[in-house]
Formats: sequence, structure tokens, C-alpha cells
Amino acid sequence: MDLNRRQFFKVAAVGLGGSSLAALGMAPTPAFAEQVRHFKLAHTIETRNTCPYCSVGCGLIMYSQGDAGKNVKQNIIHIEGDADHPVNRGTLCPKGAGLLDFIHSPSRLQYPEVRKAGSKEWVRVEWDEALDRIAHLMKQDRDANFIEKNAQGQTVNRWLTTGFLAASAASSEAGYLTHKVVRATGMLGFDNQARV
Amino acid sequence: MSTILEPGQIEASAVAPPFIHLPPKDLFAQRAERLEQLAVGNALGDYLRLIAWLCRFQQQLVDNPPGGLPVAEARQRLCMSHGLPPLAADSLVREGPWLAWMQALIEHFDEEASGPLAVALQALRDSDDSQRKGWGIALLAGQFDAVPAALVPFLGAALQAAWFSWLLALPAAELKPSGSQAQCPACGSPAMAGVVRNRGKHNGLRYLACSLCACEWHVVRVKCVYCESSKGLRYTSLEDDRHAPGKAPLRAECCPGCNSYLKQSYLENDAAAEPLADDLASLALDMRLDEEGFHRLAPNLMLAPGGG
Repeated sequence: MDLNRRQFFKVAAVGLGGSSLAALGMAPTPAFAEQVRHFKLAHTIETRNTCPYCSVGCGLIMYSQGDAGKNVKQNIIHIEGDADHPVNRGTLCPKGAGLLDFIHSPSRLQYPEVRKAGSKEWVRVEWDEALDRIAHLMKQDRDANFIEKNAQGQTVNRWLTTGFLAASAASSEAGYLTHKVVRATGMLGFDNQARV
Repeated sequence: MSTILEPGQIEASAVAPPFIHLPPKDLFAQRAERLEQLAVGNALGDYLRLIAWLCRFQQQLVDNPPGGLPVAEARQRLCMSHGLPPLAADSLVREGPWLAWMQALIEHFDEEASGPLAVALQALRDSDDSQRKGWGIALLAGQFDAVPAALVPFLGAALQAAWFSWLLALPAAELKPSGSQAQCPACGSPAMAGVVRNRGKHNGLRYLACSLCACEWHVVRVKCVYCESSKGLRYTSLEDDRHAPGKAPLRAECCPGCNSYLKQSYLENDAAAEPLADDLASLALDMRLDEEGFHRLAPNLMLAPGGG
């Protein structure tokens, strides 16, 4: 489209003088323009996303309020299926349709927690601590149970005592990387689909 | 006993969304009704009622068109097969078949008018075809300041009625997307506003309404129709007490990339919304967004905005 100056449809902010309203004697009172100047604007943001539940990967439109630039916390107020998305064409399953409650659920896990062996309590930990702990425990288990050779003496490099469950809505590229990393450790129990 | 689904039964959800949404045959009557509804308590109420009055004449013209489709079938097919608008506004406005609609519209005005309205109607009656054609060309080119502001809605009404009649006579289902998604695939005019529809196979899809022929075509949502950016778009409305946050029936899609906006109606929040009527009734939002530094590229032929 040719975006030259002439094609702007510019509304005269001051009293709508020069508009068809004024020319036909129907302009609103001068107070109206002053009033409009003080009207508050409400903003919503619409964002595309992918449903996290299963590997179908339905498209979503999430509506949020609050302006990130103005230091106000953003709040998601509505979620619907994305009618333009080729996978679901605007439809959602009952789980997907309940996503808003999932996001605002008071029992939603928002940070890593650990319940140590023998304890009844979940304790909040930092991400670094959680990742270190997982790595240590995995290494310990792998060192203890890794099978290098089978009974016939053939090299098998298996690690059967730990399994791995990865993201359902990951892209093909992320899936490929996950697969490479996990298989490199010798792990066999591995699923890249969370059918939760 | 289980039912086995045949391929055709589930196909509907997998195919592309319908590209065209045709407005109803009584579009102008519905528009008039909507305008009268919106006029109540609106600061621009008198003007909305005037446009409603004009819309009823438009409907009469569409019901009894003073002329047929001026585009031969061969030319229609040629245009459509090449993705060009078959009712190209820039050439047809010069060829002048719409002048019969203009004349017929003028003949409809038999009411006693007074004041500036009477002056405007008299100026229209006194003008000849070449003058009317010149005004029409300027109006469709977006040169609102080259047409007397008082005459704009009358010229716009005749142009809209003519192109709408022609649109209904086209095999519109065969229309294809043109190069620019902000331009009508039927007549090449710029979009006036968007509608996020709420029913059946159109549910949740955005259609842009043509400023001239009222044809509606599908454009992907959450994407600026002018610069095709999807970054940082905000949907802005005037705050009011009647609508919960995020439930405003009309919001302007404001793009920080190209600094322009397009209004869009959400039928889910107000099923009776009609693009042109709701656009006029929300002129306050345009004034407010102008103050915020956003540009409007979408013309409304029923109003000369007067901003030069």
C-alpha cells in the first residue's frame, strides 16, 4: 500500500472543525473535544502461544492486561484457541479450554522444591541448587548402575536405572537436542511427550 | 455401534479458513438500525442519525439498482485469475458507471431540509456529472480535502451503494488475496476496519471490511495489517464502566512499528456491531489516538475527517 501523507485519515482533534460534522452543522460541543482529551485509554495485549499440554500443539491467543513498559504486572485475563492456527483452527479440548485456571491456580508449582529421602516436607530451593542436585544424583546413579558390556562381552553402554520425561510442546529442533543429550548418557527409558 | 468418520466429515477443520465473508443483502438497512441504536447518548448522535437516514436510501438503491454490473464476465475472470480486483475502484470511478447511482440518490431526497443540509443537497443537485466524477475520484484517492466536507457523505453513499450492488453480482467466492492485505480483493480500496467474527466457520477469525464495497476478507490476527509486524501490538479502547477489562467490543490495533492503527470490532463482545456504524460512533477514540501520535490509514467514506 502506498503510505503517502495524503492517504492518512486524520481526524481534526480540535472541535472537529473542517469535518463533515462541522460542515453539516452537527459538530459536537467544544466541551466534547476537551472531554476526549481526558479520556483514559485501556490496553490489552494479544499474544500467540502454544498449548503446553500435549504433543498436538494447539495454537492459542492469550489476552493480557497491564503494560510491561510501565512497571505494572501483566495479568492474563483470557485464553482462546487461535482460529488462524492450522492445527486446531480455534478449537481447544476441555483441558486446553481450562488453561486460564491452570495459570492462576493457587497450587501451581512456581519454583523448584525438594523432598529429601525420609522427609515429609517439601523445601523450596534455588534453581542452581536444584539443577546441581539433579546432576549429582544422576551421576551417582549412573556410576553405580551403568552397564558397559553384556553377558557375552559385547559393548552395550546402557543406563537402565534412570528415565527421562521431556517437554511435549517442544519444537522439532528442541526435541532433536533432547534426544541427543539423553541418549548420549546411555539412558533408554526416555519419552519426549508428556501425556499428562 | 461406533460410527466411522468419512474423510469429508472432519476435513472442514483442517482446510484454510474461508477467505471471503460476504455482507448480507440488507447491509445498509442493518447499518441504519445500528447507527440509530448507537446515536442514543452519543455526542455525535445527530450525525449518526443523518448517516442512518442516508443508509436507508442506500438500501433502496441496492434493492432497485439503477444499472447493472459494468464489468464484462471476461474481464472479471481475467482479473480474478491474476489476483487483481475485478471492481478496481481507481479505474471504475473514472469510467463513471456509478454516476447513475449518484443521480438516483439525489432524486430520492424529497424531504424538506433546512440549514447546512439543504445547502449541501442543493449544491449536489446543481453539480454536473463531470464535477461529481472529479469529487468521486478525489474521495476514493483519499484526498478528502479536495471535496467539500458537507458533500462527502452523499458522494460516499452513492459510491458505496454502486460498488456494493456490483459486489453482490460477482462470483465473490472466487476472489483471491491481492498483494496487500490492507486492500480489498474485490475493488482494491483500503480497509475501513476489522471484525473478529463469532459464528460458525468464521468464529474467531479476523476479516477486514472494505471502505467502499463492504466486502470482507480474511487477514491473520495479531499482526499489523500495514507493516505485517506482530511485535508489541496493543489493543486500545477508551476506558468505560460498562465493559469488564478486555471485553471492550471495539479496540484499535496499535502498531508501535509503523505507528498506525486499525479499529476492530469483536462480535463476541457485541454481536450487533457493524464496521462502518461502530467506526463513526467511536470517533472519540480516533481523536484520542491522534493525540497519542498514532496515524489512521483507514478511510470512512461517510465522513471527511477535516484534519487536512
